[in-house]
Amino acid sequence: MNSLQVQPVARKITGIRWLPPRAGNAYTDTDLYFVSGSSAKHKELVLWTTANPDFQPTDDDKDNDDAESSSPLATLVAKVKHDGDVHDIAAPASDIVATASSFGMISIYNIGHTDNGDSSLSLREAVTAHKFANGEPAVATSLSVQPTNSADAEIASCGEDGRISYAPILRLDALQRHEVDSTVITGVCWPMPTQLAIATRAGQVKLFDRRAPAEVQAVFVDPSNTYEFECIAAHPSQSFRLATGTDTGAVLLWDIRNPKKPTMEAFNVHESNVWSVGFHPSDAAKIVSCSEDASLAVTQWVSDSDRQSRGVRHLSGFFNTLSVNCFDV
Amino acid sequence: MHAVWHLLEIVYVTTNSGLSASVVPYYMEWLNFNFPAPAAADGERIIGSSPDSNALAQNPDVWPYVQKLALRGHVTTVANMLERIAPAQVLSAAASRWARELAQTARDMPLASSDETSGSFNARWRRWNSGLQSMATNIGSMLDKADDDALSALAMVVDVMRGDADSISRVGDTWQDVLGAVLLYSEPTAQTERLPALAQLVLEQFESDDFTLVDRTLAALVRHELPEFLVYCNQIDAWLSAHVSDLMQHIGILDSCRRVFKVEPREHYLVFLGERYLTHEGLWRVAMDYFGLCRTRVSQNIMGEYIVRMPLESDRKAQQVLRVCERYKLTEAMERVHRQLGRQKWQRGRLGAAIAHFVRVNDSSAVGQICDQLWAEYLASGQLTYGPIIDSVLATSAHDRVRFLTVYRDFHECYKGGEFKRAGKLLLSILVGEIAPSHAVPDLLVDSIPLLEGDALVFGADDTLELMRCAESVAQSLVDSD
Repeated sequence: MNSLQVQPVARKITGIRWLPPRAGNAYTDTDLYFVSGSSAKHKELVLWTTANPDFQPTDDDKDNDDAESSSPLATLVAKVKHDGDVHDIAAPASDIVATASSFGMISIYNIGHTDNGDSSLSLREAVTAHKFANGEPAVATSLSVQPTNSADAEIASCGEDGRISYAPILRLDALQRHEVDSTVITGVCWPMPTQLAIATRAGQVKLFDRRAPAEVQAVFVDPSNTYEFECIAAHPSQSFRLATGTDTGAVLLWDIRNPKKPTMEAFNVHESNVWSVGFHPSDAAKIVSCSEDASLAVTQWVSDSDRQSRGVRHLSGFFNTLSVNCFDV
Repeated sequence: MHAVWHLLEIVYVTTNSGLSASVVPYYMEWLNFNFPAPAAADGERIIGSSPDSNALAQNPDVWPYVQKLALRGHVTTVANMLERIAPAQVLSAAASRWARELAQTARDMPLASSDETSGSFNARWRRWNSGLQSMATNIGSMLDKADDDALSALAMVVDVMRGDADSISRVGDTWQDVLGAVLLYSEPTAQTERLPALAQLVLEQFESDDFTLVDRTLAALVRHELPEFLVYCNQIDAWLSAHVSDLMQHIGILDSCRRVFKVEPREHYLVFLGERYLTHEGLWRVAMDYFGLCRTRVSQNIMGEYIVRMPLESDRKAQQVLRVCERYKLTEAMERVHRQLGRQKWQRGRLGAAIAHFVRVNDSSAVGQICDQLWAEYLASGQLTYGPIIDSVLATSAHDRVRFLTVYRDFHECYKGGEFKRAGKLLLSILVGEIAPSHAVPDLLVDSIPLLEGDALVFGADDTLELMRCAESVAQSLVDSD
């Protein structure tokens, strides 16, 4: 798919996540679902559905006019109010969605599908995970779900109060909080089910072992540059590779096999803050990032066997000059 | 709104040379696109309800329809309709014949092609026009002899097409229609300069009180009265006036307005639109862009004021605000935002982040105060917990207090690690470098005692002299203050 499709929704979208595909009721029930979260005036969580591109008629038998071939991109299926701006969304399963809000809360929503095709989003529980020492709520900046198949998977969140908190998805009230940094923690991810990595605004990547959560296992800094990190992502299979995005537009790729001497490669991808970064789920030689400079970029950091060499490719809407806040692959 | 924009483009922006410099074809296109008439549905209805030419000729709607078609310049459709009507038996022989003639003439109407010289086009057109004139006189003489409804209606069509202003005014509904027909049939090669004069003539025939806002705007534009045009645009929509004034600035016609308005019009409208967007919580970034692209000093001041009052709800929003300041070079605003963020973080107990912000704006007194707070916490608790806090402050900061705290922390680490010699050196460097605040010196001296009393030789003779000197000065200041 090389074309960029734009759908205006009249909301400031700050979080977006695909849901894992679910087994539908019928053979033809192949639609994909995704959830978007919005901020500012209307703070909502919205469930959308869109046609699955793998099941579309191919372009070859398209001799109709253009008017017929443009189907609506995504249709709204369910909507629910959200307490505070949505800063991040995680989708551990196809019927559960977790959000991080600007009031420092982690909320879990259930998605229900009824037999006659309706769907609903409803809040199951919410817990305050982040607040400052003086009692003010702190923004929960990012969420990540432990990549394990057990039923008791945990969700980790990080916030502006310099803390990370862990809570099992099914029992949010068993929340544990640990203060780990003195500046804002901007991103969190799980390279392994027992290991957590965070990115801070002071340009540090810190590793934690889940079994001893309050101690910092390792800290990685690039001393030659004063970076401020905005986001972090873990490679889907190689747990020693991490990608972080900075506030000046670079995407850094870390190799942390040797904790005393991590290697790092910097790609100058964007011109402004990189808000979100992620490895492509099936082609991990690509890193996708979105930025304040109104573009998405795909960085190929390893030469492929089939002729794709290292490089950066940009995608941007022609008329859009505003920041791209979030993305999901 | 689209109509206004389109007309502006036609009148001022399109520049072609040669024969296509005429504004007429563009005007007709604009007219038919934005104010389509007569409705195709009407035509279909008329034809549909009249199965054969007899019925068609007798349909009372058919002649007005044909006249309107002629007015708008849809000559092929006129010809088609006439050929359909012509074989009707109810029509007199003369009417029938003239209908066919008119159909033929309509099809012959000369259209300018881009590689034709204006001389030859004019010649062709004059021939065509004179053909219509003779037709008109002939029909007129027939009408004098006998009254024929169909024929008189036909005569009206001919009059319209030969450019007779009175008939055009009678057939046309709105001033845009009339102006179009006048242009098309009497001055097909008119350039944009002719528009104001012709428009004035046409507009006089209409009651201006009945005009809608859009009508007034278009009328002002066609008469080239730009200040009036801008004011009307603003009444239609703020977006329109902002972008129109911007476009006018770029094509250079805004100067005439400057003499009329008291303030710079483009800046005024762009700022107006920006302020409207600011009332929307999510559109502040767009508003900032509008202010920024004004590029005048006044707009920069306005922008600076608004941006420092922007609520900084989250870290990401703060980052975006700082980016805006950077992009539009609002250095003073950036400093104020950093200070605000520093204060915010201080209150919330995020001392490391606060120090980082104050260091950015070189506010050494604030940094000093925070460092004092950290030191006081250390003294109160006895535990050196500020280590990680200091770590995260940018290493490049050269602030005295920060360095003091860093070196002191290093001293503690060495002491704990058993490297007494190094610890001693560090402690001494603090005292010698005089980077410690005066109230901390006694504590430092107390720290040196275990090193002096310990088994290993930490301080040499010179070092000990230094320590004693410091102790003396402390004692002296105590005495002085008594």
